Amino acid sequence: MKTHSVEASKFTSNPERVHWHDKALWFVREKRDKASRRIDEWEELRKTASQIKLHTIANLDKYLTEFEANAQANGIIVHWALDANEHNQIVYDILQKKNVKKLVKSKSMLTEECGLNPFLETRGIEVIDTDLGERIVQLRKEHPSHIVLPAIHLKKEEVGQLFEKYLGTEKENSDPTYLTEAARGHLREKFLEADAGLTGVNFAIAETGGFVVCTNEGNADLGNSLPDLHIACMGIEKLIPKVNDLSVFLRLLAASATGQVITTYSSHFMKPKIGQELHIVLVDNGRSNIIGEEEFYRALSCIRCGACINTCPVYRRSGGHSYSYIIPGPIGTVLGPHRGMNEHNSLAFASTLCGSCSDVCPVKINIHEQIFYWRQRIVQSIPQPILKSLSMKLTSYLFQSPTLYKIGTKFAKFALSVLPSSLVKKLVKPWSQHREIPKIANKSFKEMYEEEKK
Amino acid sequence: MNSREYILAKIAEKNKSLQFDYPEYNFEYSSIVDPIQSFCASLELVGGKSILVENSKRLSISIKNTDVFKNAKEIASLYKNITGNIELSLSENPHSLKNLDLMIVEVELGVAENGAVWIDTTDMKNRICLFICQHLIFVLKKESIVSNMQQAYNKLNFSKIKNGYFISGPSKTADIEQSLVIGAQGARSCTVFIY
Repeated sequence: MKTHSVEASKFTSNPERVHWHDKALWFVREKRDKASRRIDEWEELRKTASQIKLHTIANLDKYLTEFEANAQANGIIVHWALDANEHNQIVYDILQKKNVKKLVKSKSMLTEECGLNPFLETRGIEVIDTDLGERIVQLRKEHPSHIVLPAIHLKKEEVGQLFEKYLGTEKENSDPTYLTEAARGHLREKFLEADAGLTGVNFAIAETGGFVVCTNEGNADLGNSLPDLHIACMGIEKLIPKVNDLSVFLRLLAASATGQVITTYSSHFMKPKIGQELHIVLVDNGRSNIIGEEEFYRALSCIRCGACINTCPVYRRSGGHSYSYIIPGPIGTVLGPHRGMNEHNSLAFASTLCGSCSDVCPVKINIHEQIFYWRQRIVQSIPQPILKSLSMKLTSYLFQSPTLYKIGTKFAKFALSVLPSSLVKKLVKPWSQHREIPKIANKSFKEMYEEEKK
Repeated sequence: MNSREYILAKIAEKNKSLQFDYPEYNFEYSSIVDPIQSFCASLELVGGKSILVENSKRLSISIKNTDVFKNAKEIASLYKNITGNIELSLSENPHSLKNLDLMIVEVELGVAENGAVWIDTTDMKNRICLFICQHLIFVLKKESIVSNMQQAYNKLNFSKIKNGYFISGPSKTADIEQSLVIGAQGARSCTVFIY
């Protein structure tokens, strides 16, 4: 079971790497800020987007049925998957019927969540992730470390070495343009060989029964326009009521994600192209349960932009692989524990609760508050380390009585002045691992205040 | 009970107490005073190129004078005044377009704030041409440039449109150590001729 602090300590063992990663992510955060300032009505857009999403969640059953009816009227085949396994089985069955041996995929965190790739591979289907960052991590047999920038944790030299091994690129050539060109050729072959293309869904529109996919590289559209089978997979919360709502979301998404005004391609699909089968798989996988959670349903507004991940000081300095959930950072921290509080019990504590995530969220999810609610839930449900629970109980007891508090602080002051700091540090490990014991003031604030009053 | 019924019933149960109205909104207003100039600036920002042609009669000549046209071996055109050497409607199999160098498309809409053009591919045979080509040239009327996305969506009729794309500039990626590379997997360049 992954604990964030343990995994992060591996990452932080290389401080130079930490600084590099931190700077890289902060750079993306700054680009987001610049993009947001270009739009005078940015805050109005955020507010509107938030309201549209909350309204959709409150009426999701109605909008899903509307979406399904409109999609089917246009010839799209609609499937419903209760959980990850059913999703995988549905996709496999569609592929099997058409004798698909090679599948090309564009970015879909949902398929990562469901574990689609290994499911298909063990059943004899070759799956190629075609987004450049995803292809890189696929070749490295790793998970993406970020939902938008899958290979942000890698230096170009590492990509160079990887491509030398798998794509036959020149030794020690780590020029990004050269490497991207090599990937272009390699992936074009895959597109031309593919029997089917699978994409995610950024937005599904109830009013038209259509959906939109937002990308920069062109891989999604190469993947779904060459073969005669296109499967789109989406979490049910990706729905929005009307086409016009896209005018709000498309102005927020790319700007929040990478600081671009819009992604290169905003691809709108309402019906299959001639001679092609178009399927959409609507996935629940616990989302309907979250709707009923008073503290947490707002997280279903998420449009998977990654802005919260870019800004999070903890993520920036620990990297995506330190997180036990497939989606890292703040939004992963509030979505993950629904999948298993025990498995993801460390995430909510890998936070300073600074609230930066909530500030940049384009749909105004109160992420940092939800992290706090999770702390409360986890502490109530999962036995905490004895030292932690005892010290919390003791402190709480102490704080409730002014007399005990006075005695306690006087004693602490005395103890800190006579005990060697090495011993004190041992007592408050791991807090003291990277901190010095603070100097205790001669007079407490209360004492100074009392004196001033006289 | 199948999954569909189960999911819908669960959602209906869980959102019973939630009440949020659909918001009234209107983002039509834009502070952009010169949409054409703004479009050109936005397009350049995303790695594209704009060429303003005063005399529409010179449009074809201008296009044919570009390097991408002169160097292209296979050209397909959906612009009425230029004929390519590849006929899209005759290409039975999208794979046959794999060596397409240049795709020329007359587009009906441009968006100033992001340099995107809208292409309605509802009736297009072989939409792959937009992505598999090495270079894109778009032809756009000045009057067809709107300021922002709400203005754009106001003009699009989605009861008729069944497939379409906003394309803003050439394909790109920054997946390798955040270094921007123009020309990722789709078009390497995107030039918009405005007349």
